[in-house]
Amino acid sequence: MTSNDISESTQRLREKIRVFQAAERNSRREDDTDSMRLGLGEISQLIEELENLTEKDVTGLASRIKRKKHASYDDMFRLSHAFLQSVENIATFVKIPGALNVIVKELTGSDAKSQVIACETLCNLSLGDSVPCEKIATAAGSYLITHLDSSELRLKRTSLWVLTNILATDGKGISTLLSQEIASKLVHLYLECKYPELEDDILLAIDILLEKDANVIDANDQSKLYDSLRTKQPHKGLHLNVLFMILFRANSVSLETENFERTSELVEIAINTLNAAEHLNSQDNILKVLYSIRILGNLFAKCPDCFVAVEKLCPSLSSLVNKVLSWNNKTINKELLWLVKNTISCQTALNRPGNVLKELQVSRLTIF
Amino acid sequence: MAGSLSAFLTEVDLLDLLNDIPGGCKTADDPFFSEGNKLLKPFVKQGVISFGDEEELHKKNYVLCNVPGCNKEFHSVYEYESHYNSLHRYLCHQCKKCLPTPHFLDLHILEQHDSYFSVLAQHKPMFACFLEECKQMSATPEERKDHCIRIHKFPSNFRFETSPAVLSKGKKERKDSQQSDVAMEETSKSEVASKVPKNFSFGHQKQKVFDSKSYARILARKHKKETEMECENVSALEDSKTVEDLMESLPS
Ligand SMILES: [Zn+2]
Ligand SMILES: [Zn+2]
Ligand SMILES: [Zn+2]
Repeated sequence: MTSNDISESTQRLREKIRVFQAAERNSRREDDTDSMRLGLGEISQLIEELENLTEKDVTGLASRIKRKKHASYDDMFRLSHAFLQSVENIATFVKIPGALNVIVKELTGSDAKSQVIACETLCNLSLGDSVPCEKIATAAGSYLITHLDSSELRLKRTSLWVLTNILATDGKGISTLLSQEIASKLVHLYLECKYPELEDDILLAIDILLEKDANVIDANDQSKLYDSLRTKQPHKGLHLNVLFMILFRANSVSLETENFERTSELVEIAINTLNAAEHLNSQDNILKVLYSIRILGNLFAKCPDCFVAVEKLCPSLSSLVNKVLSWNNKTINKELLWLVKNTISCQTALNRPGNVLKELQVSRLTIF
Repeated sequence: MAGSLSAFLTEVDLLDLLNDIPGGCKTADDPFFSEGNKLLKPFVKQGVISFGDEEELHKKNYVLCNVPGCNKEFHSVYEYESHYNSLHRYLCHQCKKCLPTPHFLDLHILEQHDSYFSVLAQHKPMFACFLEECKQMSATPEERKDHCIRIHKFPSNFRFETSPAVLSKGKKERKDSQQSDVAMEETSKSEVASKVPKNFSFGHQKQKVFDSKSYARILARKHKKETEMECENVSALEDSKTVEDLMESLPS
């Protein structure tokens, strides 16, 4: 293929995607940046007559960029697409020695647009298994982490996406990134973030790290993150999820040393979230309800005093519990009954009169 | 449903039920939560596609970068902004070198343009790690490079330390940005000088000027960060001493 052929067929590829994206823009994402996120293979399902880029194309492109010691926008755009299309294309590319280095060179070059496109190419390459992820971490991890501090938002955000994909992939890639202080960098990035649209992406990466091993985030950073989440009034399931992970894991922020005011803030967050919840029809709602229950249940067990805050905020806890029970989700109802059990212990500890059980409406049909 | 009375569990039934549920505080990895965790969709890796600049490309008007010595042309304000943010945002005003992040600019100013730094560096390790989060100080740039490769698994040819200065004046941007090799090479001093426009005094950027205010500001910023970390009180103390030492040794 000559360079002109490539250019023309890239034009056609872009045109198709643009038409497709115009239709999708409203449904898939709200902001008007000219990029969208897709899982591996999703692109072929979405755009039927999309040109199929094969392993042969990948090999051709790889030798082309190696020969020129440079990858043009077109080259990277096509590679990017080939990676989105199949895991075989990804595997083929990482097997070719030196090809990845050309992309990394563009990532650190003096052309801003090249930097972003190279970063997007790496993002799609990171859709592969542990092998490509380890290679990206080794060859580009230090640059990607540096770009997290870039003032160019697209470069900053795309670098974050690549790093998140690597963190979500088992293998040596994670330990390479950890040795480059990614844990601490992510926390600082979140605390100092000036872009609201980036906050959740950062938190997602932190959540993935916490799930893998909470201990990689040092206690000091965890405590700062906890303060920030608590005072910002978390309004999304992901926020509550991370808050819970920080509070109730080994090496976590110690609740015993927490004062009444701060635990009351947590109670308020959980009660308000449950009060506002109306159904379980989305992942975010499920996260919100589940983690509000878990946070409250654990708070009641660890610091019964905080029940005073519940009494202030929510005179009838049982009607709140009944609302959630009425959604008839067996799994959630089981955790809800655990919360009820801890509530009773709390009331007993505080010598509160009344019996929450009398008011509960637990359907026979929805008990596990 | 027939009869609301039979639909709900009685208090006695409930008590039985609660007896089977383990109470108390539970950590995230407690088996009790494993069923609930299945309600949560696992994270799925996502790639990215972008588009959109095509329309911009066909427009005839250009935006010219007016950073001295650059003069690069752009098809859109967006492209220009992106270029500016990536390449000129953290510009050293003395030698016109562009650094990728505030941390690299701090290091550059200290290490390249500060005569007091080199004096101090003879007595104590002064070369801060390329990673802002790491508090390691090395005695020499070589030692730091070694530290980064060994501890942080940096590639042995890590390139940001020799980040590009502005592009050379004569070089017109080629359509495919084929000049990006420039980034890999340290721009020579004479090249930098040739890029300085007439309204700049020649040789100015070569002078080693000790700007006490900016030095103090940089150190203070580092100091503040470390104090916030609350983990390395000793080194923070040392640094604040350094600021005092410096202030004392400054010509008034
Ligand atoms: Zn410029
Ligand atoms: Zn300089
Ligand atoms: Zn270090």
